[in-house]
Amino acid sequence: MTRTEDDLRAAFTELERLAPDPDVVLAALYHRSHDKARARRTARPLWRRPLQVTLALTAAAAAATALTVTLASGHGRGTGQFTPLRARLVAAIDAARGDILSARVRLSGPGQNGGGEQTLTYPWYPRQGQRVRVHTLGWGANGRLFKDAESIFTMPARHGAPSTDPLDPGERGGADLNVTGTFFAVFPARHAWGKWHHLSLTLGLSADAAGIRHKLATGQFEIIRHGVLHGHKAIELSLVLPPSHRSGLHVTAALLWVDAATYLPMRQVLRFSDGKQDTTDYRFLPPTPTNLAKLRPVIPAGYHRTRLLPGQRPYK
Amino acid sequence: MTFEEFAAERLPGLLRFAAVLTGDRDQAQDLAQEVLIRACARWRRIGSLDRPEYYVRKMLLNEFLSWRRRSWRLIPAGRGLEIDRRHEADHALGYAERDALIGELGKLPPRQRAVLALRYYEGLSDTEIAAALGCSPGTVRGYASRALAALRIEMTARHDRAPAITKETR
Repeated sequence: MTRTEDDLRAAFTELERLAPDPDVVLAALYHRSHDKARARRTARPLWRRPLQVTLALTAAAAAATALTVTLASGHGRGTGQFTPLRARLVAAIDAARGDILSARVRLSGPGQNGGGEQTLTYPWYPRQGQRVRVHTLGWGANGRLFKDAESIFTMPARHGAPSTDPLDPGERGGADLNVTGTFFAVFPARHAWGKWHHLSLTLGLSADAAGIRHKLATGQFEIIRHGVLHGHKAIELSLVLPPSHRSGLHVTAALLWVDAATYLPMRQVLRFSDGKQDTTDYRFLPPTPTNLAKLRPVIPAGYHRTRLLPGQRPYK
Repeated sequence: MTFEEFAAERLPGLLRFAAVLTGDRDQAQDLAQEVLIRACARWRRIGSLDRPEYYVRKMLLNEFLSWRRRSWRLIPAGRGLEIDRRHEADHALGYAERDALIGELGKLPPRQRAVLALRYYEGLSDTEIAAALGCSPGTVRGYASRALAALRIEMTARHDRAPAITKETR
């Protein structure tokens, strides 16, 4: 058989089909970049490291635990289009796996009177089946610490998956992660501490890494603008929400700021239909011994052990 | 132009070019990543060029040529020579013949393969190919001639610029 130059062109056309997926290439590329940056970061003494502001999300905390986030389910809104930024964001979230997340949560709005704050520190993006420790510091409106607690549990399956993502709660609603585990807490006001096992724990995780990752990967966040947050260049994203006809409390806007350099979440804002707003600021910390120690409450000298949980009355 | 803008606009085309050069998806991905990670690190300079895609494509080509020099011993051989040419009426023979041609392309020396890709895929003239490879147009014609002979391809009357695969079909 005689071959012609057209056969050669046809062969090259055939080879075109072997082109890798751009999303895959970019995600791998950014992973490599993050790995290098991470290696540099952990190699430096802690006191010389720039405070990596980031963080993402989760913890709409104590204040938010009382809230029921009811977002209509909106799967399948992804554009499916190739976007390098999306690949960067997803890669950044994956690369930060193993870091420790410090989330400061504030609830503001009608009736809050400058309410308290809560800081939650926990592993970023825990895997299913992973033993998780969530350290909670709660401050009242007067600025006093009222709780120094640790919740220990095994990460349940499917948290953050589309069907269980707190931002897509379907009919059940709820921004909480309900698990069974150990609760260890220090109560400064009572000069007491306690430890309870097999307790039903409700954590105010308004969303988690897997949930954010899923939404980014499926194009459910859209870019609003580039700006500056905490002195860092940031990108503001907005979750594409479907129109809600619900009468109950529900989220009316969900905004996420990511660091324009690290692509990790810096701040999340949830606005609710009752006018309140939940703001969570995030910091990502490398898993150094010093930072890991932050996951443990400290029992001050002279505190006594209590068997009563807050609000629990002794049996009479 | 930012790296993100460049990637959104040009990356798919670069990856197709990498696939044509390597003939293998995984190798194309490795090749592209090696180049992109360097391009990303130097993007302030590359992005300020009039046509950064030309520069990155040149980087891709250079990486491919140096890479193939390092790994030539690993190139598999022996594919596609067993075609039974007595069955030309067979409907499947056209596909088999294309597979055989692709297999033989993979066994060409890298410079010869690059010349064919630039001439028949990219549609560059011999002068442009010479500039890309850093050699003379005569050398390019020599590479092309030997490659076409090895592939048993009958050349049509050569004008300086070969019709490329149309961009719309990519």
